[in-house]
Amino acid sequence: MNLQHGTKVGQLGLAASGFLMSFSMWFATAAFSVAIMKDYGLEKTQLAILASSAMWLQPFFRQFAGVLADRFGAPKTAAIALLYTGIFSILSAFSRNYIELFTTRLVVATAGIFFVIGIQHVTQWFEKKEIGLAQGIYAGTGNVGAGLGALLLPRFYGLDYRSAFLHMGIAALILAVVYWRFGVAGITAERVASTRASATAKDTIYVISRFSAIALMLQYAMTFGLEIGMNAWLPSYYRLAFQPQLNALGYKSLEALAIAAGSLAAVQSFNASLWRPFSGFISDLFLKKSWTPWSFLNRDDPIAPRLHWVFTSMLAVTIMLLVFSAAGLAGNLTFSVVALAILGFTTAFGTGSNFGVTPVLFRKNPGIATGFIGGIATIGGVIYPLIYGSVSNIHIGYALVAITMFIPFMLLFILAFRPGKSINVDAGIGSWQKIGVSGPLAESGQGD
Amino acid sequence: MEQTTPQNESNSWYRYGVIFITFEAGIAILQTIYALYMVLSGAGGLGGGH
Repeated sequence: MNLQHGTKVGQLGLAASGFLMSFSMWFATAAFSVAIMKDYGLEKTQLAILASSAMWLQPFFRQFAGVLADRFGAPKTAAIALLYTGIFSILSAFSRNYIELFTTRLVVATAGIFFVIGIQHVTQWFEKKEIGLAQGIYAGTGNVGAGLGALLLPRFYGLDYRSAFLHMGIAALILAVVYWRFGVAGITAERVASTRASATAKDTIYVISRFSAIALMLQYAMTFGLEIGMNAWLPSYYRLAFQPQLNALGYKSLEALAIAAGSLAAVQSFNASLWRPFSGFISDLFLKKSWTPWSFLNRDDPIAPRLHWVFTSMLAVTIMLLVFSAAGLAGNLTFSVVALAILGFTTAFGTGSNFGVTPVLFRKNPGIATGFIGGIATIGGVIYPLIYGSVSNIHIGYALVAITMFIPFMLLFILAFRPGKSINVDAGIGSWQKIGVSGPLAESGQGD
Repeated sequence: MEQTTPQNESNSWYRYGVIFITFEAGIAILQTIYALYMVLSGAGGLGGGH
């Protein structure tokens, strides 16, 4: 075994730092939505478009980033991602009109691809028995970058988003150099080489056309997709929907409103991010106790208890989104913040539970599955803010998403993981022989 | 099936990892309490002050 230099904790710290920086940049535009709205006279629909634009390039770029990380190693891919997003963040600070600002921030928002690069980096350094915690620390710490941005940026910079974008861009450039200098692609040279050779186009086509992968992708769209959509939308929501209540509390100037709205929005991000690692612990508990509460889901496969936890989290997220809508309709700001905290909490359980299942179910191609599920699911983050902003009553959008999208997603999940002797992970469009991969996914022994 | 049970983990980093995620959960709770304080009192941030 050819051990590489560097320590696993050091590499985890590097990956988490890069992800935190990237997530902060990704949602920095949302943190300054009040100031941008004032400068350019934006309406509610335009704000929703700006919010959703942060996710537009994610689905394609994430798939692409996963392949590059496998091919060239995470450190180089991460450094390049930080480099170009940093440069565009600096350019956005000097934009001369809204089109220039929108375009440069669209490129900066691709910083969200770092999720896939970091997951790949951490996977290359940690063993199966410790990967759950390592991924939890990585994802939880990185995701909170959005909340930190919403909470701190308006405090440090007021309405001066240009200075914030400039300073964040410079910080990203520095981190790019650090990542390039100190990042190591994997714990052993053999593992790095094996990963480089593992992903083929046929394997990708096969994995992404499995019903189980699609069901898990939709589950991630209704949890992680929801989380990032909310990150982008909530500062505008609290500013637009609760302005009378915030004014009555004394938050009257635009700057005060921005800080208050950002602080309330951060409740979702903090809870959705920082509770995420605990979801893996509960997934372990479901498995240990063999909890399978849902009769309409598979109860016999060894991995079934973990899937029951995934479904439980889906149900909880759907219910809490309805409650959040109700809190808004009631016009009660305190109720809204409490509902948002619990919604964030349940969202964390949804995101964490997914990654307790995906690497096990797709043991043969975890990178491809992660890229697909973590990448395509971000489309949710594009669609939801557009729905929130398009309905006449600003509070109704959440309920609309829950009823028209999340309930069908749950039904598809039930179909994909229906009762039976075992989960047919190979069920999908076309057989493995027809697509031409080396063997079925079940050969890798999911749930063993 | 391989489980990620902390009690079976011998590497010292794992114990610190569990402490770290507990600390992170504490931050989430504190941030929520702070937001509730803002909406109940009007204090915190700029401009509030009832």
